[in-house]
Amino acid sequence: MKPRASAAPSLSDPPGGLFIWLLVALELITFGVALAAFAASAKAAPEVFHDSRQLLDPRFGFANTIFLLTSGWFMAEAVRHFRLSDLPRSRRSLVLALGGGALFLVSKGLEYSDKISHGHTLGSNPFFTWYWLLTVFHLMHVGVGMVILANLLRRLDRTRPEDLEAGGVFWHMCDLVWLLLFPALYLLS
Amino acid sequence: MNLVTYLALIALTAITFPAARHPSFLMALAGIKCLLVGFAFMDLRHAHPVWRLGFAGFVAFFLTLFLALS
Repeated sequence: MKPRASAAPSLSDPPGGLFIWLLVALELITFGVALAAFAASAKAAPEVFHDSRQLLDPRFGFANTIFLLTSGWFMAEAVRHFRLSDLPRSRRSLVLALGGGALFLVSKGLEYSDKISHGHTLGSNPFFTWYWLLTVFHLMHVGVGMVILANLLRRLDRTRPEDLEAGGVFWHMCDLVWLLLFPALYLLS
Repeated sequence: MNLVTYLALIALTAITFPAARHPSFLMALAGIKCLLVGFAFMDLRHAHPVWRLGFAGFVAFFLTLFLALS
């Protein structure tokens, strides 16, 4: 199997296929609109958002970023090894990518538990409403991504390269969204 | 290539905290990280120019809009 770079790029055949990129575009637009609405809400009640943001622990956000980026790296490696027909390394990278996702879920669970125990729930104030909506929606995507990766792992020897690429594109979309959520929710002053 | 991208992403994440006082810089860092993920990990560097321009344009447009609304 040749690396993708050897083929001339086609408008109707982006890496992973057209369908997954249309899905990614819709997801990014959805998250983009939600984050824009979050920014507008923050402008309407700056003190509430500032004070509430202090109640979040940015170390959780930092750790989650590292987990997702590391997982994304392993996913990219899984695709690369697959293209080189090195299935054992591709499988190992895919397992490690799933491990990164699992660490993200555990870390998010700990963070949610902490927030709930302190009474910072969906209805606490506008900031926490957005915090829960945005992060749970993102977490659902990570969960779906892990199911996709696990399915690809289960039948890796029968998987087409485009399917693995499409799974990778979806997984990296979770990275992309988190890279925007992290500064917006945890750090912006 | 993937390892270099990964290390660059980690380095950019590490300087996110000092950048927190400057919203424009903070979101610019996020934008650079998105472009790295898109072009390297998602393999957009090998995609048709329309996809590359569309992705970069979307990231730039979104960050500009977000900062304008903030």
